[in-house]
Amino acid sequence: MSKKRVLGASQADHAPSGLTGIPTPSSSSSASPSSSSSSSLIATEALRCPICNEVMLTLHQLNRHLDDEHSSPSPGSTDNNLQFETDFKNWFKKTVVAKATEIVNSPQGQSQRGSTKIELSASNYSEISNDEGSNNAPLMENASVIPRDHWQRLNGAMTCNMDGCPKKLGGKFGTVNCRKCGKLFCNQHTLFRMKLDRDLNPDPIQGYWSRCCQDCFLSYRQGWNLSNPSSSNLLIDKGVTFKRLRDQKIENVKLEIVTLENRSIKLLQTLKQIEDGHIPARNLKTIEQGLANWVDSSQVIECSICHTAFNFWNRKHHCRVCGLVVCGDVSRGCSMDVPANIFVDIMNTDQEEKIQNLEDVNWTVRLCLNCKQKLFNKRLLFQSRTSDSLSEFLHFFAQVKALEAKIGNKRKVDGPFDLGHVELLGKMERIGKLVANKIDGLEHSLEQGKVKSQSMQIKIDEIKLYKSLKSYIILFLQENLPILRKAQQEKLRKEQKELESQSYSKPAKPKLLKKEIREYREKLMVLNEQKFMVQNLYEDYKKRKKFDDLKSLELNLSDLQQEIDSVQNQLGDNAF
Amino acid sequence: MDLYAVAQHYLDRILESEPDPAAGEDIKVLLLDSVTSSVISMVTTQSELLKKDVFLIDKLDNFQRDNLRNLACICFVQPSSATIGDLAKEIANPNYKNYTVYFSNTVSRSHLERLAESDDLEMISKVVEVFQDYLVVNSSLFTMPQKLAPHSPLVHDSWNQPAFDQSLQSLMSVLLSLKYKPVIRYESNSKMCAKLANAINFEINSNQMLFGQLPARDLPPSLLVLDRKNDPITPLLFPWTYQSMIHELLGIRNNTVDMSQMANVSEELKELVVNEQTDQFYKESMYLNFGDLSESLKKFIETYKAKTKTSSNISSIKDMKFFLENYPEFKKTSINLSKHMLLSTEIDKKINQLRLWEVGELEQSLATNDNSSADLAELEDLLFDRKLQNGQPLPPLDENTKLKLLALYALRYEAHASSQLSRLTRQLQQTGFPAHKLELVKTLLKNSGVAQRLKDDDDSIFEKVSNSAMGNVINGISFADNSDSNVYMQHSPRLKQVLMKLFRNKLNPKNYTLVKPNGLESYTGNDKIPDQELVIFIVGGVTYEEARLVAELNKTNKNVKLVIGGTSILDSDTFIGLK
Repeated sequence: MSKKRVLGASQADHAPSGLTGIPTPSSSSSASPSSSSSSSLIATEALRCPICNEVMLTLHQLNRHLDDEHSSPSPGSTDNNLQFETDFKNWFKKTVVAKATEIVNSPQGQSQRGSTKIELSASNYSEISNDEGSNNAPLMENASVIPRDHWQRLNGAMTCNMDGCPKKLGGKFGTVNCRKCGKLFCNQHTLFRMKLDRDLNPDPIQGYWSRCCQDCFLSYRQGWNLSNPSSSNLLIDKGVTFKRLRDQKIENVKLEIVTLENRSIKLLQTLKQIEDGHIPARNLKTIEQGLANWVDSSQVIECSICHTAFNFWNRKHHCRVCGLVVCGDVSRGCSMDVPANIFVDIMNTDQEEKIQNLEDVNWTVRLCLNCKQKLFNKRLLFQSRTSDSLSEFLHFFAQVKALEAKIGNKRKVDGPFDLGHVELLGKMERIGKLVANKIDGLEHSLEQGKVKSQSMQIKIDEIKLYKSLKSYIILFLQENLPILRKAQQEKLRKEQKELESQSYSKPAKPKLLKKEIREYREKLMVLNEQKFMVQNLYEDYKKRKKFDDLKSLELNLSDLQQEIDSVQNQLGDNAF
Repeated sequence: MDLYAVAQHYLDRILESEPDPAAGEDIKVLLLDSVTSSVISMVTTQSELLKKDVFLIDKLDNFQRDNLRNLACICFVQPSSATIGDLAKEIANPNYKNYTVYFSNTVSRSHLERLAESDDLEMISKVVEVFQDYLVVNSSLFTMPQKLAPHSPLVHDSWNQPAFDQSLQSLMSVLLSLKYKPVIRYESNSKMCAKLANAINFEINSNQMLFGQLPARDLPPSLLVLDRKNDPITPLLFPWTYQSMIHELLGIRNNTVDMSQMANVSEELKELVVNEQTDQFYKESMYLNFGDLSESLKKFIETYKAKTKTSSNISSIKDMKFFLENYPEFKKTSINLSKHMLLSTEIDKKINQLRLWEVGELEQSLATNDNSSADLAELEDLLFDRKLQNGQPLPPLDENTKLKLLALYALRYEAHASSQLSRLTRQLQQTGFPAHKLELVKTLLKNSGVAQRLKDDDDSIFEKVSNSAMGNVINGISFADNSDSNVYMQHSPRLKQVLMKLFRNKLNPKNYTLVKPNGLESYTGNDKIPDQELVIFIVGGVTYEEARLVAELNKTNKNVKLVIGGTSILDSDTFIGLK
């Protein structure tokens, strides 16, 4: 409250300097009728502080006075401050209203001066209310705004709080408190500026420029750290707009398609009925014409789609579904005779009541390009989506993904490595092998296809997919190779132990049971296969000069060789 | 400032979005156009994409693509009319299961409508705008996705329209991706700068929806639009730092250096990728000068040597190369090392071949010292091949190098009463120097001579900037001091002067017009607080030297973030008009 004492109370006789402490200059203006607003009074009143009524000589002085005295209440009196603000706003409203009525009521000559006065008081108001943000001069922090209670005190020989800064505080390096965290730093490490509000929170709009340290600056500055996901980049989702637009645009098309569909179904049913003998065949044309509302062909001189002029060779045709007159040129494809049964099949893909197939396969229906696209595209798309053209590839992919997930899970559950990993990775390798085979096969047949000029259904993109999958597997194996090697070493050690214990108990080579022989043989085969694969991988890397990985592979190979040797040793003469 | 972080984030959002959550993990097809494919290639690698289940990458305008109906498709394209047309064709005859569309910039409503019209099969499940319509070259350097000549062919100080459109679009996407709503300053003597700055202001004001939602900042970011013509010196001088030298002598294009023309280059070194993001050694040494670079390479080799426990004394680059070639198993361990070895040996070779040591010294002296007569004598010696070594005349200097020296002299002593330019030109012509090349010097003087340049108070572009009495720490921002003894690094770009003034808020408002978009009217530029976030754009092209200046500022000062870009990245040949 101390700040709001009424300094100019003695002058403004009717301003109550009473209990609230809030001056109400409004009373002065409303109490004084228009007659009292002589020019001199306006001048003095204009340069009187609207809050405390202190008289100012210049506008500049008034501004400064407002900034100094009224903008920064002492900390801890926020409630009073709020109260003060609302009161002040009320006062302002009243003044403006009063002045406005005054202007309206006052004679012409005085209105000019009245308006100046309002402008003045209005500008004062804006100065006060906005002074925290958009004042022209930047608001630098000062002790009365930004609390300093939390500041660290300098005692004795302290060094800068910045990590790795050995400077002694005081003297030539300076002693500065970070306004935000309060810690002491040297001059150089408090070169950061951020806007803080009274509670020391960053406030880019209304805050006061305050000196702070690097940590505070980087952690509180919005959007400064770009790698921080919370300050993620701007992304505008236009999906909703797009969908609305699309709905608008394709609404009519959809309606049109429904009409076309109905017509085609009717047409196909009619054909069936003719075939069954319910309707005589000679009625077909009339029915067709009635159904699709045929365009009068005598008025048409060119194809409605390709705009080629009709003549003796370029005949007119009616589309049986939309009735347009189009040409029948096969190369341009403006219209074509669609075999009725194919038509039926396509229409049946999403029809509840299936249309019956015709017995005679020679029935055809002429469709123009537009209708064909409208009727068929979506259905054909639907068909091809359900048919699995890439099933084999997807199968591989699913396997790889499943294995990957398994290995990932296993690693989480079982700790760093495990024998199970070896098996899983082995499986992965096997898939990789299969994929590589597949690529070779596809490429081979592609070449063959070229030679025979036989358009085999091989997609180049499919080969690309397989290749990507292969490199995906290789990438995965590379990442997991260290684990694999560790696990294999572990396995080897175990087996060696076993072997040792076996050799202790049974110094002589035991005769192997048939079952054991079979098992060992299988093991040998698997091992040989693995060796082959690693060998392949090794060659591949060698070719691509991935020398970093070669070493590990070499180790791998020798491990495998050792194991093979040991198994072979066990098998002895029984090895094949 | 790290533009890579921005790009990576966008990339993650594009690729990790699940187009069809019900189907579980999906194999993705990525369709790009010519612009976005270079955008993507600058910030990621094939195997990174593979890890994110992108198994097929193709161009949108390749219509030979096969039908792969089981796969989901992600389109990352520029919202240009051509690509919208291609996209419309694609979705009318879809090859893939469904489409998610990401535009690299703001897409106009009419384009969206066109797309909606063709999507009667309802193939598009998502349309998103990301803002990545620029190439990330270094972590604080960006450039335009397409190389277009910025100047109109007829009038120098006016835009070539396609280049203008691209610059505007790109710059807008830079601002949006950084979430900047900036105040704009431009060099008032340039019509091109003025046009670009005002266009950006207009775009910001007419996209209040977009810019209004950006977070408030303590201080509005600044966009500084400069014109190359105000500093014709920097691109003319031979730069002595690693990245700049690679570009100047070998040419960097979209982060790759083409070495296929070189003899004796093994297959895997035919195309070298120099990318700060993936190459640690490059990141550490891209801004080093040639001496430090050899030092750093030596260290690099020695660490490997320590590993392989071999010993051989390495003192020169030749020795290093010998060492590498003779230890094949050593070479195995790092393609990277041989890559940098190859680059630096090539640079070394070219420097010696073009006699850049002596030329560079003269260039620096011409650019920074006021020593007319001695420089002229040296220049004449070089221009007319009068230099002798052991009594033998040296092989003649490269024509283009001569031309650049002449151009430098012409710019330096243009206003000088005793300028010998016309005499030198005449004499050169008599020796059979091609006239069309000499013509280039005249063009250069016409376009960026003293009459065209900004008369920026008392500053001259020929001063050593550190000599000016400004000191090295300005308003809390420290500039690296280049007044060390290195005779080849005397000159610093004019940009340094401009930035020094900017940070003390001493830019002359007459020379640097301030444009304030709506909502930023309160900004005066007279605050005691220096700019904290700054985007610099140089119309007419940026140089790697300027990028280095900016990168060093970013490195030494945590309280500022700067990004620099330009219509293209210049080398001296391109700048003077030889390429």
